[in-house]
Amino acid sequence: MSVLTNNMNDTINMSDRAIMEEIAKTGDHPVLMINQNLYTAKADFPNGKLYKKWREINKKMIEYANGKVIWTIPVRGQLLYNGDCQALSEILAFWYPSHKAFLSMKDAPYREENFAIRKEIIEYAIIHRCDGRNPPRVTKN
Amino acid sequence: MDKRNDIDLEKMKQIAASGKDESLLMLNLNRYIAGEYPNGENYTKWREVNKQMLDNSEGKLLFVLPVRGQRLSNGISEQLDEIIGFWYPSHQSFLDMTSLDLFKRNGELRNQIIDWAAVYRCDPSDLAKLT
Repeated sequence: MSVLTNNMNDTINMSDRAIMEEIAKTGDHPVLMINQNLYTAKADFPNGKLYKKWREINKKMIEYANGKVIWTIPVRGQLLYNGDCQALSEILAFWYPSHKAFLSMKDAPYREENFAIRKEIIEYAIIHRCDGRNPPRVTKN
Repeated sequence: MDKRNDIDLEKMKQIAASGKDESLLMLNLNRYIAGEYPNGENYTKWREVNKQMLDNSEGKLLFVLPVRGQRLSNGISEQLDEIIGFWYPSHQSFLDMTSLDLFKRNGELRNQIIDWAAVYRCDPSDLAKLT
């Protein structure tokens, strides 16, 4: 089951939200959200005014939930696919100390503005929920 | 079956030959066929061969993220099982890896376990702050 958010294009997966609410009640732990975004031409990624505005508001929302931006990775190309070939602009990783903290963002004062700007700048997006108990600590050796 | 994007491969070759080659992150988004992940025989074998392939190249496994759910979508929605990040010091080092016999074996095993996948070529510069 899913519902449309304020942005008629972003669709929140309500089944997954129910799972998150259950985890928040029964055995909460950190969660890592991997955001795959393709931006509109209007966003003018990465230097456009609207894109930068969204990142500012997004940062405030994450801080409201005591979360952290782990990384922002510009995508340069897609070498391989097994299914549909979907272009992306950027992949961002946001870490939250608990599922409850993430869910608290529904009360964040910046939420409406966040979704309003997303409606302008997002052409395609998907957010994957990952276990945040052992977030990447990158070492190259 | 995995399909190679020859346009992107050509770009990689151009970068490698440009005199301005740079490091890259290959982000693998994978959904496996039923019964393989995370303990299936072919999945386990693939991870072993994948490690051997990396050990025989300059590439490094940076992280493995099991995916637990999908929070939001805006467009076609594909469920994933796992996100894996591989780092290479240059585009040429990745291209060199493709000439290994282990690269071919790696691909054969992938074709036995992958239900859906995408491999994105990314700029890893933001990852430096994690080291």
